[in-house]
Order: sequence, then C-alpha cells, then structure tokens
Amino acid sequence: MDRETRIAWLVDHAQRPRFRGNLPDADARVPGGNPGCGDIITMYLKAKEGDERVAAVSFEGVGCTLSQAAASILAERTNRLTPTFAEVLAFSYEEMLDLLGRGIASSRPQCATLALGTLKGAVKTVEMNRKLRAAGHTDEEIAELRRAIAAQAEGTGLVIGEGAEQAALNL
Amino acid sequence: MPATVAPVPDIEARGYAHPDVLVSTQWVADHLADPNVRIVESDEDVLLYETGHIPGAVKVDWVADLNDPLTRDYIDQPRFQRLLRSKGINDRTTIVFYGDKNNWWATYAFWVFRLFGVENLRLMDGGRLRWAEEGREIVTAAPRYAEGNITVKDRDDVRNRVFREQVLQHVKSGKRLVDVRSPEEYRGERLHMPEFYQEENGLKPGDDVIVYCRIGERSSHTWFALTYLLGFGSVRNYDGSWTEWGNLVKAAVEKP
Repeated sequence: MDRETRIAWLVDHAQRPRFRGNLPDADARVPGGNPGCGDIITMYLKAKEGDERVAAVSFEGVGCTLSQAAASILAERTNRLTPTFAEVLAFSYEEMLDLLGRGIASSRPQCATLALGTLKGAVKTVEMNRKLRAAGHTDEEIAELRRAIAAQAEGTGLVIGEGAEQAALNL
Repeated sequence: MPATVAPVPDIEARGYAHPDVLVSTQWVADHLADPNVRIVESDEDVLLYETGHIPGAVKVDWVADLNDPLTRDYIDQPRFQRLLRSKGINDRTTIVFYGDKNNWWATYAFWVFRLFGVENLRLMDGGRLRWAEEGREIVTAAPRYAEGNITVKDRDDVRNRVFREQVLQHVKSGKRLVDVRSPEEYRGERLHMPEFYQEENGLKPGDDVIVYCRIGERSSHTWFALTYLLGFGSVRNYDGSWTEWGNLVKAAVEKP
C-alpha cells in the first residue's frame, strides 16, 4: 500500500469507524487514555464461553484521527481473527505500528497504540475475572487487581483501566 | 457563513502589542490565490490535514518535519531550508499558520520558524476551528508548488529558546518562570519546577520570562501571546520543559 492509499485508508476508518459502539453483553469494558493528547478509547470485549478466545470486540472513543482509526482497524482485525487471549497479548506495539503504517504512525506512537493497549487491558481483565471467580475472590479483591492492571501501563505514556478517561483529559 | 458563529472584535481593536502578527479568517480567504502568501497547517492530530484543509494550505508536522529524527532537537539549517523550499516558500513569502487545539501547534511551528530567523510570519486568528465553524471551504487535495528559493539563517537557540542550565540560573536569580500546564499537572498530582508563576500571577512586560509546559508546545503558545499580543520584550521557551526537568537527577521541584 503506498503512502497516499494508506492515509486514505486510515482517514476512512476514522470517519466511518467499524465496530464502534458498546457491546451490551461484554465481559469487560476497559477505558484507556492518552494524556499526551487527550485521546480516549473504551474497549468492550466478549469472550467465548469456556475458551480463552475473543468472541467479539467493539469500542467507543474520542480523540485524534490516528487514535480512532487505529481502534477501528484493530476492532475489525480482532473480530475477523477472533484471536486467543495469548495472541492478543503477544501482538506487539511494533506490530501495531506496522499494521497502521510505520511511516505515518511512528510519529505518534501513543495515539497509534492506545487501542491495542486498551484491548490487552480488556483481555487481562477477562482472564483475571475468570480466575478470581473460580477461586471465589471478593469484589474488593477483584477491584484491587484491576488497579494492578492499570499500573502495568505505567511508563508507556498511556493510562489503561480505572481513571483513564480523567487522566487523559487532565491536560 | 452560519449565524451561529459568534462575531469577534476586529484584531486591531483588541489592544495587542503587535496586532499585525494575526490575520483573520476573512483575510486568509481573501488571499487564497495570493502567490506571496503560503498557508501552513500545523496540528497535533497527524492526519487532520488529510481529512480536509484550507485550499492551498501545506502541512508541516512537528514530529516528522521539525524534529530531528535522532536527537531530541529540531532539524538543522540545511534540512529546514529544504523543507521550506519544498513548500514553495520564497524570501518574500508571507507565511500564515493555523492548526487544531486552539493553534497550539501552529504557534509551536511559528516558534520553530522564528528560531531560524524567518520573517513575515502570521497566525490565523481562531485557528482551524473558526475556519470550519464559519463554514468556509475545506478541501482534501494537497497542493503542489514549484520549489521555493528562501534562504534561512542558522538556528538561533539564544533569543527565543532556553536550555536547562540557563533555566537553573534563571531560577536561582529569582526571575520569572511561567508554568502553563493544567492545574492538575501544576498542583502535585503533578509537581512543578521551583519559583513558578502561573499565567495569572501578575507578570509585567519588562520581566525576563521563561515559559515551560510538558514538552514545550503549550508554552510556545504562551511565548507567542506574551511576545506578540502583550508586548513582552524577553520571553524564552524552555522546550525541554517538564519532560526533561522532571527526570533530571536532583533538579529542584516544588509542590504547592
């Protein structure tokens, strides 16, 4: 794909986002924020019953063209491939830049990878909730572990999980 | 033009120190075909220009075009001159910046252009948002211009730019330092550099002022406002800003 075609593809995804909206029966709803420029993505994830695999995702969000295009492209890819949890977690930020087009996306890496970071956060949330439910953990304990997920994003410049929307808007 | 757009006072009537640095959206609309005017869009949103822009406007991206690809610095004189010539800019061209986010990135580009001594710079009052809200024409076709012939000077990192050692001396001598980050960043959810003064803290045009934010883009907007609108004579932008200072070992930090 040449540069002009790739830009048109990205702009099209931003202007006509695929899989945008909430997922009423989602197993996880995880917000992610980019305090660098105020982008917000909330990822909804429905997992396959009894399987460590994504069944469906959707997203809501506000922010720059690239961040919203990236969310749409990632949601489309994820719904097409219905990857395992491990495959989502193994899909790297570098691969995300390649998917979007490094020549464009690498100048705004946080905008480009916010959706992926948020999707990973949603997968981890589902994984954790399943384990915790099986182990009989309380809601308070689950909340504490969710805060630990948010802490994993520290240093990436992104904020994933509780408080992400507010952090992104505190510029 | 939609009636919902609030009218704004004429630029000349606002009492600015250098009102000629601002041009109205109408002025830009009247000069779209002027070969001596180059309109430059500079955005935070890397693809906003591609979604549509002012007819004839060229794009300058602060990362891809103005930043050095390796070092945290701006490009050098030869690259900057090539960039401007590739946009069809000549020595006599009047360059008009506009952009998203209240012209933050437009003033950032303006500031970088000033580092290279480029004259004839203007800012479109109201930025991209006002142009759009007024229902003015937006196009997606990128223009092509013949190579320009502008000659730019070596970058001057003294007059409008400042580095951490100078900031340290400035702070020690009790001079004015302006933090233009958000209240949350400046209060100590987020910390700040010592001896800061936020914008409302009674600065005077004769003060020797350094402005900073997180990476220097918001403070370039303040540099612009203090220098051109309020007539301050000595304002320098610390583009290292909190990103550098907050990571310096043993750098002084305050929390209100």
